[in-house]
Amino acid sequence: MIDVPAVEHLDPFSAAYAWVHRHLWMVGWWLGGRAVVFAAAAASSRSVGALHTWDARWYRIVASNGYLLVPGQQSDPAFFPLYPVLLRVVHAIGIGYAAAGVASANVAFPVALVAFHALTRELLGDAIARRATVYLAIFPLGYVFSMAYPESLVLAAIALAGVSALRGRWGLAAAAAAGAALARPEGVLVTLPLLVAAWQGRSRLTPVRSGVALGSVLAAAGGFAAYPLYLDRVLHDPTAWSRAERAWGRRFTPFGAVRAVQHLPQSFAGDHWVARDVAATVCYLLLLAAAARAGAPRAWLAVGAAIVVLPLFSGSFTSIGRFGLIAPPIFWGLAWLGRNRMADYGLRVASIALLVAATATVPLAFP
Amino acid sequence: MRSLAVTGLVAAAVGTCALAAGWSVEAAVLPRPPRGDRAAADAVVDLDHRRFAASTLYVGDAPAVRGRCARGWFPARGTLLTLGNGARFFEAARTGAAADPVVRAELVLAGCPRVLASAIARLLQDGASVHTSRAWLGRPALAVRLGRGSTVLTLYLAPRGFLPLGVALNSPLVSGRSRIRYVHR
Repeated sequence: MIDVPAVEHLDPFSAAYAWVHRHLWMVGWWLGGRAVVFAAAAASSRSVGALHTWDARWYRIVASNGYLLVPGQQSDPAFFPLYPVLLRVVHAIGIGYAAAGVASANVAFPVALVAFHALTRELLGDAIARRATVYLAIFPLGYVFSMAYPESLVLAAIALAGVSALRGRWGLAAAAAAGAALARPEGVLVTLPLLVAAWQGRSRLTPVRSGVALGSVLAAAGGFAAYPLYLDRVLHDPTAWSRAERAWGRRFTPFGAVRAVQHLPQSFAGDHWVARDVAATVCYLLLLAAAARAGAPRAWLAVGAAIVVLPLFSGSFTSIGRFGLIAPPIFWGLAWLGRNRMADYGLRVASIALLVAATATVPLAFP
Repeated sequence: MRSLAVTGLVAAAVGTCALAAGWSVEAAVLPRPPRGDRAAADAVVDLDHRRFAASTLYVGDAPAVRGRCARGWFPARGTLLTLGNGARFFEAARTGAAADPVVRAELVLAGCPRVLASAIARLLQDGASVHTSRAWLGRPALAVRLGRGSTVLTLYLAPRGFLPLGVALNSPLVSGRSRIRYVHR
């Protein structure tokens, strides 16, 4: 006799159909959000080419020519390697670097949405998870998730590492954590929630499983360390990353945050758009406070705070609006603010309006 | 105690695997910078430490002219090029790329350290196509050709240390070549 329910249970098509059906709302918000971004970009002065501007050219140069440090000048070792690796792989199948960059980011974004939703549901429940995922899909600065930048890839890796750890899939957590750290330096911060998850689950784990869990924490550090080691191989200088950062005016010092605030008037005189990053920094800190009210775990709040505050110690507010996009607690805070229907509706309308404006002005301002 | 050791060993193995995998992916997928790019970048580093250059310039069809270039205060901070025919060109340090492109081309041809370094760096940053070949400039040299649009800058570098021995420039505004000698650091 064939056990029909068991066959149905194993049928991958049915399982996939059921999964998609359960997540249709997410598909809708993802497609809607991206449609808004692409339409606004198309209406901008650079059309959809706006999605392949600014730092995108550095990632393209790394993918096509490899790393080269030009001391004292802005050069490409400032950019972590996983995204250029992905660009080169996609390019190898016959797609141009510009299209490969935008396509990679836009393919990684739905993965990020799914992983983020799963992580949020594990930590804060279904209602907050749903709202937070919607806000993430239409976040005003979320046009970066469609640009040839690594943010969607990093968010996907961070969320995947977090949810895998919570579900005890430590091997996957290790791979995702290493990937996050190899894609952006902030990715290494995922070690903190992984460490907490490993510690909390230690009584249920065998020594070997405990080792893999602890190894996932070290994996992020390993992924991070792989980059300077590679730079040492190709440029004979493991510090090439920080040297390249200095040419952008970024140098980490204990009083960097004070310097960033002190130099704000000059920064603003040189580039008015820095006001956007200052506003984003303030909003992010308020949203982290809201996430704390929502009951977000402290380890994740610390990750969010570090992602927002640490760049300030390089002496600049520039790009903090973009950096914050990979901090999950920011969207949890937004979901807490949108807990009643009117607030939720207002946040969605405001987000879409700001997303249109922000995307249309990409040719004017470095994100 | 044994279980703690097992946990530690497995954790170290996973961390090491992540490090090795990350490094291997980078090494396997990303190209190494070509020799010409590295030589040009090294030339930028060397030029950054130099202040004086003596050169012989051949600009267009004009006869050869000697040039002396110095970086300092004149009285503003910048680069001053004095040619054998009496012409003097100055580029203020703060002006940078905004300077007259013809003057800038003369300064590049004369091997003025900061200006030449900046021109090389800009071409490298812009992803210029780089071709390398052997050359002879009274001594063996490495010719590094940096092409971007209608501008081609060819550096003749010492094979060891990559100090520029000469420059050739082809641009819509100025075409010429030069032999350069850096007087001292």
